[in-house]
Amino acid sequence: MNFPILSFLTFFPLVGVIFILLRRGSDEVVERSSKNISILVSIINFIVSLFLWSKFDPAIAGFQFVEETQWIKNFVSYKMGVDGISIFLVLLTTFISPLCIFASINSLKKRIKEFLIAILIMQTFMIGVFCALDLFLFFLFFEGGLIPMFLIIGIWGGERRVYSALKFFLYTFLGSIFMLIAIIAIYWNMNTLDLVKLMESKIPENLQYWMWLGFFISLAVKLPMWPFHTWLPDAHVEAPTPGSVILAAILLKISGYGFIRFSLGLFPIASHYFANFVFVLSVIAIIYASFVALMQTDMKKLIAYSSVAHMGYVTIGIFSFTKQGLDGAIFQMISHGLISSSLFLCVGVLYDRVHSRLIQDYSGVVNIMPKFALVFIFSSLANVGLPGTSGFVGEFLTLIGAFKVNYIVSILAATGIILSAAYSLWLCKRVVFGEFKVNNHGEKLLDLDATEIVVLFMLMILTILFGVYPNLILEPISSSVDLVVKNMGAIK
Amino acid sequence: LLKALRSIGTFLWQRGDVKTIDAYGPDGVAKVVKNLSDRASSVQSGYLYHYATVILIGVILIISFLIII
Repeated sequence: MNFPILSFLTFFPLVGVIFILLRRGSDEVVERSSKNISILVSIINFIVSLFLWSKFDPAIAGFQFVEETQWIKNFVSYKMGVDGISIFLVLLTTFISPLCIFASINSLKKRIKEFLIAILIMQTFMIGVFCALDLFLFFLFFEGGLIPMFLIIGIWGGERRVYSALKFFLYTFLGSIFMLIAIIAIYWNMNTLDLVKLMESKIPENLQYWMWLGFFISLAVKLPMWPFHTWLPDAHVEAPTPGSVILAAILLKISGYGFIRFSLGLFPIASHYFANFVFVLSVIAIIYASFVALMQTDMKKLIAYSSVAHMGYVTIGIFSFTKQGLDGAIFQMISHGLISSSLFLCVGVLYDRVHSRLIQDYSGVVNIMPKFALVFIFSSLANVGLPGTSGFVGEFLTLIGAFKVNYIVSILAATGIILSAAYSLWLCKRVVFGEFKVNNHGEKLLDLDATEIVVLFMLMILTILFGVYPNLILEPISSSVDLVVKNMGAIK
Repeated sequence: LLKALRSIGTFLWQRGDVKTIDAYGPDGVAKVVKNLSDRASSVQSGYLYHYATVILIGVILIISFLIII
């Protein structure tokens, strides 16, 4: 029997949780061993995911490393597997998790043990969501992730943490109800929730439209798409830095993945039918969120709105049904995961020292923190989509894909790049350059420490690496994307 | 031009997000639910004769329904 590597990746973080819970002793001892255990577990998980990548065969379009066993008799099977589309999202999760743990060790002061437990449980749900090949199992991981995130915002958040945590939870939970109803309807009509079987057997056309809408509401809230986006800026502002990183880097990507896997995979006719509707919402999201980002006074809120705009490119790419568009959407998800993590960590660095996220409280930071300034400017430029960074490749490919099907969408979406340059560079100008001035606790402004340098430079290196050599991602995803494009083309 | 761009940004943020999407969306729904719950909870007066009246009305309605059907 083959080693169940996907189950290992998914549930190994829970082993870490058990070890943390079993630790006894003084608070200091428990806290120290909690840190050590969570770092060890997350690094082992990352190494195992690299092993998974090394064994992954890019020539195969279908699912690999498939594990299947019956769970609830005749109803739910425990079925896991990855293809080119999901493997990089698994890798992104296992890569970002240890960085979050390092960041939380640096910045959090209270209930560290409980926080690390929440992060590890979150990791289990996030890896599970990308590997699940049964709709019920997917929904379980999809919803389960809400709980640790709700706790992370609600317990370790800022002043308005309760409002933000409830808004996040209720908003996304309400959206998910529609997906649950759609899943139940699929079961009663198709007699299975197995994703592979559902992809092979065509879902009736009249059913597809309703099911598509059910999934769409849930995924659109979680992405988030305009006008379901207002929970995200609140959640980001109140979440602690590692929480924001997980939210931006991993949680938002579930929806992009969901659109490719379910909307395109299970409801191709409905996807064609609703494509223009998605284009309109995406273009509005890009332009609207970019304008709103321009006027933000809180750095985290600015990055949150920028995320809404950037996820607009992802949906445009996906619903272009072209190879370039889908390649670009998947690339953009990975790229945004790295760049937004870097930006949120940068804001976290400033917040840890000065306890303010307001742009007006900073000026001329480069004079005191040159290393920080380098990373911050680099990440901002990558966020704009500077050639040579991964941000460029993702946006460029999605726009090429969109141009092929609707050049007006492509042109309108391209204006978002100009706006993103405006808000990102203006942010840099105000915070990094000019005469040095920091309101309150300015004397505490020290440059990056060793841990921060390692974490931020790792993100920077990957952003450049994928920007210069995008085939590292594009080649392994090629076969799976070709299959999706072929299936969508067959419907046309 | 910059002034115009900033005005658009402020308008979309304050009028769009805060006063429209949030006000009629999550915050609005939360307010409506709270209002309805407040009203519903005021029915629980604690007076036995209030409850007895409601039970009586209920019984009359059920019997009328059964007779008509």
